[in-house]
Amino acid sequence: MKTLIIAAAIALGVCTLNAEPTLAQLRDPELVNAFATLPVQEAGRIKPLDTVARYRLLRFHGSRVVRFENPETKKADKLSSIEWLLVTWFKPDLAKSLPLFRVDNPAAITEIGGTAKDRMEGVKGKYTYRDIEPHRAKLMELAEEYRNLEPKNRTPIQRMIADLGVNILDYEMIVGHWDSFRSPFGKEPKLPEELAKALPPPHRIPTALPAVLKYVKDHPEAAAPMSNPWMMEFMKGALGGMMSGNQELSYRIFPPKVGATEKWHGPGWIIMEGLQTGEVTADDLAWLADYEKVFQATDDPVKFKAEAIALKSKIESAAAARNEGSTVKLEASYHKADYFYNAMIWFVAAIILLGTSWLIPASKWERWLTWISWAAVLIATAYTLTGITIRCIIMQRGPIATLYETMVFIAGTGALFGIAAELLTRRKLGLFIASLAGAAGLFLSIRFETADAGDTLVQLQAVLITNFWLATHVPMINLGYAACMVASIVSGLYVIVRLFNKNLAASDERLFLRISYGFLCAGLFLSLVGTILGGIWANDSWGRFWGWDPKENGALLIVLMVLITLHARMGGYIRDLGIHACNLLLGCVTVFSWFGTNQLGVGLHAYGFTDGAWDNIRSYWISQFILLGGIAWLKWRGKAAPAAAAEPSDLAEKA
Amino acid sequence: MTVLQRLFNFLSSYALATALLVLLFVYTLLGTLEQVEHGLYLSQLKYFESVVITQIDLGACLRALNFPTGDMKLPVLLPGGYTVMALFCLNIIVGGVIRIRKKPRTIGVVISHFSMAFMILAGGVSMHTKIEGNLSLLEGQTDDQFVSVDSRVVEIEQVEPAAAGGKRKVLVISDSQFSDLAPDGSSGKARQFTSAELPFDLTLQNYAPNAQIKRDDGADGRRDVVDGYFIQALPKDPEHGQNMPALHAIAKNKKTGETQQGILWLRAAAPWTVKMEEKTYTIDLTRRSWVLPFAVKLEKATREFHPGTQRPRKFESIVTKLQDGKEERKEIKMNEPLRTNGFTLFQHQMMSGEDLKRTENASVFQVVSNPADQWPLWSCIAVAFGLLLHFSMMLARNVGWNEWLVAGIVVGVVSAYFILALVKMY
Amino acid sequence: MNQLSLRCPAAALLLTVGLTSCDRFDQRVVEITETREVSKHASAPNVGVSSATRFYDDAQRDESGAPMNPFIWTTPTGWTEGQSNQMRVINLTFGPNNEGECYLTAMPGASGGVEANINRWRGQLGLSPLPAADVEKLPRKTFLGGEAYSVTADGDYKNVGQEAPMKDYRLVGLIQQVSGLTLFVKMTGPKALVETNQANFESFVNSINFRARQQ
Repeated sequence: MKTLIIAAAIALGVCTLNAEPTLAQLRDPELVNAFATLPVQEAGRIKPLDTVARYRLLRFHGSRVVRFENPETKKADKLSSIEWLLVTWFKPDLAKSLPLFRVDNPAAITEIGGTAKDRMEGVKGKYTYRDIEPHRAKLMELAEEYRNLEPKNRTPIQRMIADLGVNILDYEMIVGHWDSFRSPFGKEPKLPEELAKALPPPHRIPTALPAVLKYVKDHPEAAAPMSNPWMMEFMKGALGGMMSGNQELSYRIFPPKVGATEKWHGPGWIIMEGLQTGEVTADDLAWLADYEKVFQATDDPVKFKAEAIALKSKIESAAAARNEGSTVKLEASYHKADYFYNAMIWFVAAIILLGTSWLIPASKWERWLTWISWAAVLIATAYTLTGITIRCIIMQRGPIATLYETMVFIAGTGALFGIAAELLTRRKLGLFIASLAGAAGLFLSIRFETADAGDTLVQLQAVLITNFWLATHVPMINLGYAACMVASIVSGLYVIVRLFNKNLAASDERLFLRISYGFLCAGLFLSLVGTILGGIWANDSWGRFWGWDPKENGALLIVLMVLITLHARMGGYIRDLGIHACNLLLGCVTVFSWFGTNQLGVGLHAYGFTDGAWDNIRSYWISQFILLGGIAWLKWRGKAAPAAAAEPSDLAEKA
Repeated sequence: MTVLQRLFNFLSSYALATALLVLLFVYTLLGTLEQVEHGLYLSQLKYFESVVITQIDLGACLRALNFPTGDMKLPVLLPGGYTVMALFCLNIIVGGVIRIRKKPRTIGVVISHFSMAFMILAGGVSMHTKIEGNLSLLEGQTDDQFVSVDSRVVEIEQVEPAAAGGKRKVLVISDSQFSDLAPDGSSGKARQFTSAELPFDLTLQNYAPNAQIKRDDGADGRRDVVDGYFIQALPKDPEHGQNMPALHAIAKNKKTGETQQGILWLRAAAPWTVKMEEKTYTIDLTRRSWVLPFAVKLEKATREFHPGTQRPRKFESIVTKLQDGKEERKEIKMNEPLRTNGFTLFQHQMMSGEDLKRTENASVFQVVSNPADQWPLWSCIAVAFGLLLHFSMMLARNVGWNEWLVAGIVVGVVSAYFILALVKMY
Repeated sequence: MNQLSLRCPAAALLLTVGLTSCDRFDQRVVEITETREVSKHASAPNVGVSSATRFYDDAQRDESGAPMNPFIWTTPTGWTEGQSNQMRVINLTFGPNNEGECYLTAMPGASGGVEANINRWRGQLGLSPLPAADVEKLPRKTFLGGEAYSVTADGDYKNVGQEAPMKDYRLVGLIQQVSGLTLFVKMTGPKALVETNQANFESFVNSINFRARQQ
């Protein structure tokens, strides 16, 4: 069949069709690496193509790996993000039958007229492009309708359809990325006579573009795509070259000359810009020719690899001449190492080890397990901190600028807090807190990244750049969140332990109380100072120290909650159980301040409404209120230990 | 125990501290949630700057938390945020600074209490004395007047005969004197204003907080039509600065009793003109404005984006400060305001000529005058120091380290940090 | 942010009085005490402006109450009158397929100035900008009682929002600043068609007047 098409194409003499590389050839490590580390300018930043591929795939697929049946080996196989991108670029037929699009609710598929796949079939709600293609018209119609609804008012199914519509459009551009090079005017072009004479086949974009521009200059009516099918195809190819309908995510890989514009050029951009201005520079045509060489070499594995590497080094040296792209390799390795995922695994391992060691107290095994869990926590923390540090090096800025970064940072510092507590108390509770805080924070960050599916390394707004107070305020506030969450976790653990262990030793009571009280104080210090520093920054930026903005108020709520706890304790209105109860409430307040305030949709920190965020926040609140119920029950049963025994020694400064 | 002693005990008590903190907590929470439906300005007035609070919109708060609920308004009588904050300040000073047992160990607590009281005081000072407004300039333009976003006034100016020496002066009626004149159901409200400088008394009535002016088609037989137009009230915008209030004004000749009527509207293209006793006056409902002791000329406004995006990377204005014949070049950037003569000019917004459909770019500065401008900074340094000292000494005692050694280390580290901060700033 | 009731205790008191007394009219007369100096950079007072202008209701209305065109004119025979809009206060077309267009635009203020606008037109025809001195040398035509700059230029015409230029077009235009407005009359179309309609253009321009001035 395929040979027939090629024969037909050659007979028609209209396009340069070359044989596709095999899957195995495409997955040659050197080739994959060349593409993975190709510098690209996207969203105002130079990054490796690997990063682009990862987040595109994450958005379509909800995961960074595509599992499929390899048609060459007939075995189950998986593709990494960059391999998936290469398959989509160079083997469109195979790409279209990969189970790519994740649609969680089958109702969304039936609504557009498709056949829902049973989750039991092993594909887990993943659909191929071919599954969706027949229902494209209906999908686009519905997606358009739902996208016009307020995000807050969309049902989950409407949201899925709206997202799927956008994803399909973006995907089609990625599949069509090389169309301008494959056949710039479509498979069977009917060019106007004058243009056809000037452009004998085979049609190649570096020569076709100037000819088209000249033709359009003489025949302005030709620029209307609707009445000129060949122009329509030509523009479609250019859109594929841009790879995204979103201007900011447009594919830009050609660094302009030193001193010229900051904006890099891309294959699609050159064509579109040409059509708009009527001009194309010699430099840009040279870039197109270089890019074309890669495509023309796809039928020869050795040459293909050589051309890809040649293109990459040419782009790299052009970027280096502009002092750009120096962190591309580091970023590619950062993604490959997947620090935060690995850290989470180690944290979870530590939780399991510690749990096991508590089941077999006072044995030889217990000591071993404790040492291994120490090692696991240290490895996990090291992974987390390395990841954070590399991010700082790549972006040349502090560790926290986005909600995602707060989660990673709080996981890392929460673990450090736990380790510090362990060093001071040596009762394994600190280690447990470290692994719990680390695992929970990182789990949250991974969930968030998957749901958001956008590059987490983002460029900052002007107001967030360069201010000493801001640089201190942000980490402090987040350390404050971490300390308060740790205090709350300790109290939560205490309640659970007390509910299941009727005869908790007084020394253990004291341990829980001291650690949670310590973190409460640390939380007060960090949140209070962090909040005021935030005000000082705001005063430098906007001339107002305090604006009652929801995020600011959230930080203030934390401070007030801690102050209430401390003063109520010193006034004698609450005792130990009361402190634990207040800590549980503090956790609820911290979660509101950390996530809830961003969901209100008002104020300077409203990053937009995240679907399902309220559900998660509420489930956390409910869990804490169940624990509060536990405290009420303990109190009612009169099980609270005599207050004097557990009174922290230095609390009473009362006159 | 004398009454005074009892009062002292009450004011310094933990009970009062805890109760006030709980109230502040509740107000902060409610004030945050109500912003979603009522806007920042009104929530701030209601919860944080009020003497008493009479109602809580529970429904709005629950809806903000994404719990679908109907209308639920709870009538209450609680001390307002201002009252609570004032009491709290007193409580901190009496309880946390005066009454607290003073020994070396509590020094950190005393320091932090004292600085918190100072910070609340700074908030009060800035609330009562701070003025802020916007100064918008096109490149090449010079101005020394800035206008408020939220505060509106009625201004009366005698334009003919013009004031001697070209020194123009206007009479100002603050909005606190007319914003209560909103009609109550069907009955209107009015208030009369007078001045020896005017040949007429001015009556302001039927204030509409947000309105448009409509042409009367005569169909409804309206009574409040002035010169063919009437005030059509609109629902209030939660963003206070967006509201376009209107007033019905009547000028009554002091001698003859003759009256002239006009509609005042914030958005009106020009003021209302009154001619009486051979003199001409303009009367306008406008934003409150202030004059700076110097003029600012915008030389150049630059806006940069991260390449290929709409994400701003740099806002920068180059201005000339003109004062008493002297000229000074200054730069105003994001996070780097111009502080001069007791005023601070912040880079607030920037519009490119392209957006404005003209050749020049425009820059909007936020102008603030606040005597307590830097007070929170000093209080923050003190509170951080006090808390750190106290908590680290507490930790040291608990763990069994030498608490005075730890205190020394903390003092050293904190001082080093702030010295670094100050070196970086200046 | 200022707080009214607190910043001015008298007003707070007044407010309470106003609320408790149910009278329509506040009985006491309030003395105006506050004054403000006006900056020397402030614009001159705008005196004697009509209510219609103050409330943006200048457009006059026909019997049904719909706003009337602020201009009056005579449409040349053979030309067609189109729907007017914000950019095209008078909107006329001519030619066998209505490919000729002639419309009047009124912009408030200087609208960027005469020179910039003439060069904007030249840009639409793919021509290079004229230096200021050459702009001053352009012929003038009497229009609405003043002297308007008159432009005639040929080229490939591409109007705002159009994707591709149209070949061999002619643009005949007038720019005039009057009554705080900048007025543009612009005729475009294939060169031959515009040439034959030059006389119609002149008579159309001569017929334009402000409705208000007429009455």
